[in-house]
Amino acid sequence: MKKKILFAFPFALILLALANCKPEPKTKIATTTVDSTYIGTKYTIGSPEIAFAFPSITNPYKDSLTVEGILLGRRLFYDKHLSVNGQMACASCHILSHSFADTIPLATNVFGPNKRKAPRLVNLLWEPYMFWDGRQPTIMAQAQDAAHNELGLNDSTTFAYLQADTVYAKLFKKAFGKPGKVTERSIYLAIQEFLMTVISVNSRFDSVMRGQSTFTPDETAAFYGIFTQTLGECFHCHSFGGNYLMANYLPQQTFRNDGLQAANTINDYADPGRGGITGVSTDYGLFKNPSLRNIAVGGPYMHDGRYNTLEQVLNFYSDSLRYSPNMDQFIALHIDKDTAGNYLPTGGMHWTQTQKAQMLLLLNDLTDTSFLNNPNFKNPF
Amino acid sequence: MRPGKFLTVAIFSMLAVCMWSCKKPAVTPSPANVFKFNLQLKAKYGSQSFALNTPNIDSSGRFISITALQFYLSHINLIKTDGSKVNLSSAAIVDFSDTTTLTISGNIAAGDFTGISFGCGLDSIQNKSNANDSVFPNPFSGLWNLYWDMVSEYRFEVMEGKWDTQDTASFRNFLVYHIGTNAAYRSTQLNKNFSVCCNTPYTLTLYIDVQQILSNNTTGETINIVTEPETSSGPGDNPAIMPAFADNFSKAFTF
Repeated sequence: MKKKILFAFPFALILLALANCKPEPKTKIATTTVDSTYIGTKYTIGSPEIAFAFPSITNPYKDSLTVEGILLGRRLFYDKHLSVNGQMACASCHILSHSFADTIPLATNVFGPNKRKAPRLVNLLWEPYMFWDGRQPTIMAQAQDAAHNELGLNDSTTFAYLQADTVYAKLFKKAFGKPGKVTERSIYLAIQEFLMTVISVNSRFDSVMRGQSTFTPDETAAFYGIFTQTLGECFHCHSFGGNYLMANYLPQQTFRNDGLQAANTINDYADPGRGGITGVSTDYGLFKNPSLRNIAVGGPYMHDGRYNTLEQVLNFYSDSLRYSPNMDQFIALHIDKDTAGNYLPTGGMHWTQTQKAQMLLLLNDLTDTSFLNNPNFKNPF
Repeated sequence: MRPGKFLTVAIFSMLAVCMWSCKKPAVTPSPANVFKFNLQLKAKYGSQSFALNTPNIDSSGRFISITALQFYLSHINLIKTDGSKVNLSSAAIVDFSDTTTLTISGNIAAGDFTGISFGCGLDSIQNKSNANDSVFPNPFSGLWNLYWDMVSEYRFEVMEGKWDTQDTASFRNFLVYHIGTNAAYRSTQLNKNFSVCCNTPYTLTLYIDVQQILSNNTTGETINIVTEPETSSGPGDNPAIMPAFADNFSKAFTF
């Protein structure tokens, strides 16, 4: 026993000494909750497919998603009571079967025709700017902007309706733990939660990138011979961090002028785009790079919906580019010039009919039918 | 071993372990003969000064304005008088739109040197680094916008600009050179005698002559910005541009 004590004693001293080492200071992590009584069911965004396809999620709300908040957000997204006339919902212009895009060139809101096409809503979680002109930085701000400026949402009328509705009363309580209290923030926070889950990652293109299937020779020619080459120039705007289904959202590269609008000066643009927000002369004529995800079901195309078909879009980039101020350099390099170096009213990538057909195949590979048929995204009413 | 002797040894061992395991303030040894060395990058355009988005006049009288100039330097070594090399940096990014990248610093043991050597671009192993694993401002981070999605490699050199024959009010023409792939890697050595010593940070200024990138006196190669305004170093591009640019770039440095 004496020997055992002798042997145990040093180890006891070691433990004692280690315990006396001054602990390293720990960084206190601030936690925020919507409400102290909040009891939502945590919802985590993540899958091997998402991890493969996208950068890590930096959205500060990613850890506060709840199943209840998402369900509430979906209901609000589809609810026409949020509009001033009770005739329109977010989903009126953002239609699931079209990747939450509109089917007409210019969206019609409660005030009349809009000047721009209602864009696809997909994978917004990774987008740093909302709307064609990037005027809002978050999904929640986008929802608020659209609710007021497209739907004419009236705060007092809407709040009264939502608070009086027994279903909503329960849903808001489940989502935010605030019985009987509907706030403007909670409305847009819920819509944001729903739109954060609107993720597409299962197109044929995705499966090829993951090595689960392979391109046909024509698809290979389109992707490796056109899309990712200067023959197409597509990849400069439509890729990010190795993901060809995302747009380029690096600073200074999010907004581009792709030669769609004819203009001699910046004042000639029918729609100033980003310049209308910033007032910076070099931003006139620029619009946000759209992701090409689900492009085949997302027409009409361009910010003003001027092209009904992808064939028309391909013809534009092939043969109808026009020089204008602030034009993207990669586009400008493909505008035709005369011998004196002056731009001609012709230009483009000058693809052959075969190359256009190959590009069309590739663009159709970007459609994610599991997304378009996802029951979690469908109208709950 | 007698229990008493064992106990003594054990206690001293234990104390040694404990002292070692307690976290100490981070103190980096600073030998007296180690001094800070700065490699400072500057650019010029022939005999003209150079700045991004500022017009220069080329040898043909054209106005040319470079809007982006980024590149990797790798395996930057100082060459000692005995021919041995002292590494300053394994890879560094130089971006003329970000002044913090224009000085590459390190601690160098005092000595006499005859020059520096470096790679223009990244070696084949570095070129396959994972951009997603590298956190900005690590030079391999994708946020530097030099990661090349289509081949999962890096652009070694990016030079973009615009030019015009008439005036600088509306540059109507563009040039875009994105140089990469392992075939574009070049090694360079420049000679200059200098000493690192004497408690003073040593700064060596390295100039890159942008004019020499497009038309190089040493290589004799010229890139025609009218007929060869763009490359992304891809198989569909003019195959002559990338090697000519890489050659010229590697010979565009001077002290």
